[in-house]
Amino acid sequence: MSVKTFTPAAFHHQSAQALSNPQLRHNFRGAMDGLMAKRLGSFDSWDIEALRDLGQGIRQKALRHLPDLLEQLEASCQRNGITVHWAESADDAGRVITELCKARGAQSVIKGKSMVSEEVELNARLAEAGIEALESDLGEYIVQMADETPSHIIMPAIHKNTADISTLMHQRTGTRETNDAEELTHAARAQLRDRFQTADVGISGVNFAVAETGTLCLVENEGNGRLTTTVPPVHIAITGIEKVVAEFKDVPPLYALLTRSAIGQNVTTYFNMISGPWRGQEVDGPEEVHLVLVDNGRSRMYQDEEYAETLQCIRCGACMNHCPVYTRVGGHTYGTTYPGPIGKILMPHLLGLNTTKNLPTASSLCGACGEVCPVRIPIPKLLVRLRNEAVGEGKGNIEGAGSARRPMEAMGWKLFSWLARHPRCWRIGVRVVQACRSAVPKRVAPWTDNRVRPTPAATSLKQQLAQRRRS
Amino acid sequence: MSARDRILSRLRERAAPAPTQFTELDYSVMHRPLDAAVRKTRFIESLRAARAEVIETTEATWTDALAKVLDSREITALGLGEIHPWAQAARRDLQDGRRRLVSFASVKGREAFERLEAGLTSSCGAIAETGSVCLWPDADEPRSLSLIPPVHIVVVDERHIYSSFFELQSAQSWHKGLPSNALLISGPSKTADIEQTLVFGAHGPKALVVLLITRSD
Repeated sequence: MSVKTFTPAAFHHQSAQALSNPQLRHNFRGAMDGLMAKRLGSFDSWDIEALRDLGQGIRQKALRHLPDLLEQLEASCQRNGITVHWAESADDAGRVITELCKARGAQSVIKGKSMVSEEVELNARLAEAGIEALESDLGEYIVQMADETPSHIIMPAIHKNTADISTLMHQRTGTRETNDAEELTHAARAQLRDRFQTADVGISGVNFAVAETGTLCLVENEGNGRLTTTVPPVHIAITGIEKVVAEFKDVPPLYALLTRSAIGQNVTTYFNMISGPWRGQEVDGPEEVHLVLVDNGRSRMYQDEEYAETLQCIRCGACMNHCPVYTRVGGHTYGTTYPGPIGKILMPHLLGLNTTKNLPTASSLCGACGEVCPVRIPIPKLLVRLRNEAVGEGKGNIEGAGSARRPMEAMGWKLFSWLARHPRCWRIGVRVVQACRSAVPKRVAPWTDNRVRPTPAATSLKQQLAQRRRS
Repeated sequence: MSARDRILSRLRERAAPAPTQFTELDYSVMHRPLDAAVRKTRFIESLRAARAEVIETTEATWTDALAKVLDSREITALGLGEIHPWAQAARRDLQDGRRRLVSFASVKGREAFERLEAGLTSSCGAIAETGSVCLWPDADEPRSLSLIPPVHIVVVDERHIYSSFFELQSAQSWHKGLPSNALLISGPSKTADIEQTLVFGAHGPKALVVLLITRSD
């Protein structure tokens, strides 16, 4: 299966292409404007700041006790009949799940939406083992059909309009071409109905894993998540180690924050709480439930208390919806599983700064992401730190620190720093620059690509003030 | 060392922060009590806003209301339990031969997808502020009963409407343990994955009918 290849290293090229695609920009602009307005309205009757404080507190408390909570979660799950597996890397996660599928002789897998499964490229790994994985969330179904990856963590197919989807579904499934979203949705329902019944394994993500009760919480509107976790004889849930919360009473505040921040809804149609396979006399539900806890760089991130704040994330996507850069370039441009502001701090940790060094610079530092984050992750502050560590001397708790450092630029700043501390030399320097001001070339790429030529002023501010004092 | 032990030992490597940093969390923002009368209206309004059908009825007449729903939707095969009091009442009062009453436990797999036009379930509570119905499926009313048939009909007792999810889980002591599957359902299934256009009837039931048992006392 070929997935269109966007890479974080080619961010600049990809963003130029996205910016020159008016349809793409229209799709994102319209969607993001709507989402921002809906989010604001949905918090109307709430003390939003107090709720964000609580959300932040719950997530910080969970992270502070993360190793203990993971052990507690494991014990609670085992008590409930859920088998817990641990995966250090994406490879491990793929291997664990493939083996679970093989043990059941599985040929086909039906999937609920899971960004962690995208992160570990699960579908490709299953395909290598000859197991077909079919996405059942409508947005995921569409992007899988198009051999693409999600462009938004909540709304995977947000980059496409109805006409695109209609053409795609017509070509791939023979669905009648129409501009009616309802007809397309119902066609997808009919196409997938059989697949839920014949799938050997259902794979889902997890929104919150409760250590106290051993419960896996899934948030969704479509019902595909419930079918995925109910109908096939095996349910495998995959999630990052950071998704754990301590107590059940932590769930309602996070759920309240999640749906409102994500899509401006007070609640989703389904809140599915799974605490094990079928018990006793029950006649349906899976015979086996597995939980795969994925590290894949998270425990390294955890070492640095500031970077570890990124792990507070509940994956609502509000930072993307409010980001002026994301809105203009769209999700694929980032070339990473998680796009937008949270992706720009998460992905450098998962992949290293070598390939992702451009991502932290793709921000105007307007601060909107930090202001809307339901768990108060200081995204702008972390972006600035990543920028510093990318161009620094190689220090910092991140792989690839210093990889964006350019010797000329570093020397230039050193010279500036020295001059700024030696006033006499500074003054001479100012005169030299003023004398040469007409010598600035017409084109100083990339500056002059979009801006006028920069010329030093004939008289500096300090000189003007001195003149004024004299006159 | 296993992957588990390596992950846990890496997490434990981090120097623990000073314990003084930890303050007890303040959950007061979640306490949003509503009066009983407000709870009922808010519950109905929220559900209707989510395109659910809500029918106010009484304990004495609710099976008539159910029969009307089945007739108006031309439902001839209804899945339901055998033991739950609501299911027993429905079985008792709907014996007019106009529809088949099917015990879900008897139809498995593909049959369940094809034969049932509606599923009737009880509920174990409801939430006013979000218009949610809480289900704890069991052997008599399995998970699929509220999931696979295109219409889900659920009986809710007015006395069991709580103000919020926070209040419900606390009043019912959910922290002590949950069934294999617990659910909050807040309308018919829906999606907006195609260009943000809201469409009902994605993969779950296309319609949700709430029979609300009102109490005069």
